Amino acid sequence: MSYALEINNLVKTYSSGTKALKGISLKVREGDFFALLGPNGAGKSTTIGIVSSLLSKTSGDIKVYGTDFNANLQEVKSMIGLVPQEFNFNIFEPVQDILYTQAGYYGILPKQAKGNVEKYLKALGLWDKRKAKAVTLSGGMKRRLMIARALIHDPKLLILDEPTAGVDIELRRSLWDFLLDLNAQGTTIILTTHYLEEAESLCRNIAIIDEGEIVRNTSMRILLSESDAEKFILDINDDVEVLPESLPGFKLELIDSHTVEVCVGKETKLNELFAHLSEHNITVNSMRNKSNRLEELFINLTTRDK
Amino acid sequence: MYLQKGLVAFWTVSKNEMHRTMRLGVQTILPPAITTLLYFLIFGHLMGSRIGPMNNLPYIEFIVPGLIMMNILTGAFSASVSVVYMQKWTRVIDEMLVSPMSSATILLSFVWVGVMRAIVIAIVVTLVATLCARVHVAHIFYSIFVGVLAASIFSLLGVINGLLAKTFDHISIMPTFVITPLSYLGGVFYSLDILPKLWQHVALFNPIVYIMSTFRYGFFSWTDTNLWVSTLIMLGFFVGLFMICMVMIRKRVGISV
Repeated sequence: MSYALEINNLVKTYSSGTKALKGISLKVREGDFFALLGPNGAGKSTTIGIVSSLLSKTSGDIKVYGTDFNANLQEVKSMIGLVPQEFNFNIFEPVQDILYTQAGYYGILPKQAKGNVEKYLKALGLWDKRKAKAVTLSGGMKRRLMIARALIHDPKLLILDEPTAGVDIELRRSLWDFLLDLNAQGTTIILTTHYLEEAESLCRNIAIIDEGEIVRNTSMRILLSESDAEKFILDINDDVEVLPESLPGFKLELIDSHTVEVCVGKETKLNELFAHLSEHNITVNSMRNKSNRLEELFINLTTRDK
Repeated sequence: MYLQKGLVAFWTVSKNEMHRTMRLGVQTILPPAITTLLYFLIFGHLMGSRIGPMNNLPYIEFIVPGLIMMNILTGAFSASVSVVYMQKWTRVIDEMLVSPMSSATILLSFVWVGVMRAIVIAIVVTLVATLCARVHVAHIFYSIFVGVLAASIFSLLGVINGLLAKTFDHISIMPTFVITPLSYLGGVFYSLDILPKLWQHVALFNPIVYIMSTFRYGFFSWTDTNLWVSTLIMLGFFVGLFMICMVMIRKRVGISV
């Protein structure tokens, strides 16, 4: 099997003595959509910083598409596109000039970059704004500009560090579609995000990092199947003072007279719950997830020993 | 292939910064021209006639190379320090660091930004000088060589300052407290011959003395210091500072958050 990214025993100790990475190992398959999750300060940004060569590593090996990071750094860099968390372009430059400048950093002349500038600005809905100064763009447009810029040299591996932070839901969904298309065309994508439903919707494989160590690295499907229970919120029709006794496999809790929280075991059928509630003359108007499954697992994994 | 890509990257940075220098001409080019004009009026015309000749030259002619060089040094330094600090502050520098640009290409781009601004300023200041005094250059190629070498040295100092600076205040400390005093004491307005013996020796610890001295040789064919020793000292500074900058960029000193 070929890998887009192989990290072996990566250690990062800052000059202050802080050990940000304690020998992490990770493999991301070619063409994967991979989530790298973790709480703040867990080591996600340090890992991304080292892979994209913004930070120096203390020890460990990195390979990108089989090319050794130490042996041929320039080739490795030319295969990576990075979308950082913070906006980091010259806000007084016109949108298309930002892309041409970026292309220049990768050794691409403006006439060679013209096609990609047009392609990505159109794909990300920025073509009409190509001559506008970046300072005039909305927050969502700036996010899209960051993605267009990272793609200008057609990287094989795209690293997105919280690409949808502060973006409204409509734009977030359109960015998801764009990223899924890009991934379908063969670009390997590594995503870090605090929106766990985003990771759950987009990514096939996942690593959870905490305190500089990988605490879980598996496929999203396997991880989600490990969820023992799921919590739902039920909106009920009638005023309820006392709930009926819980059924085996369910745990009911009255939040207020119209709202019930129910924890449903993995092997339990929801039909039994509804039948049970109907028997006690309780009508369920609507139902929603309290949190997504990944969120529960994430919290369990990252707070286990704390 | 990497050489060609490196040249494109180098050209991209240089072109952008050159545009910025020209766009901000009122801040970058006009002030040295006005300051130099005032120096010529005050020290050349008003006081120069009372000071009398210096090394058998009218005083106003004597100060021409020193004033041009002083502007080259401050122009090169301020260009590179501001570009490095601004790129760091806005994190635009990250895009260079993640790109395949080598550390040497990144550094040469920053240095060239300083040298370019210094060249533009030197041309403008020289034109101002020709309005006020007779400008004669005895060894034009040597003068250009020393000018570019001095601009490169001060661009490298600007890069170091820009990398180490943590606030905007930090980028003005070097020009105010180091470069300007050392320039004034480095022989812009006088020859070392007029100093007492002790101070002539002390002055030799000031690296700008060698720069002023060799640059003045290009104009008048005489120098306060040994020409070859001074040139080698300058080359030594250039190589040493270049290596320090390379290590700083490779190790991301002052860049990594």
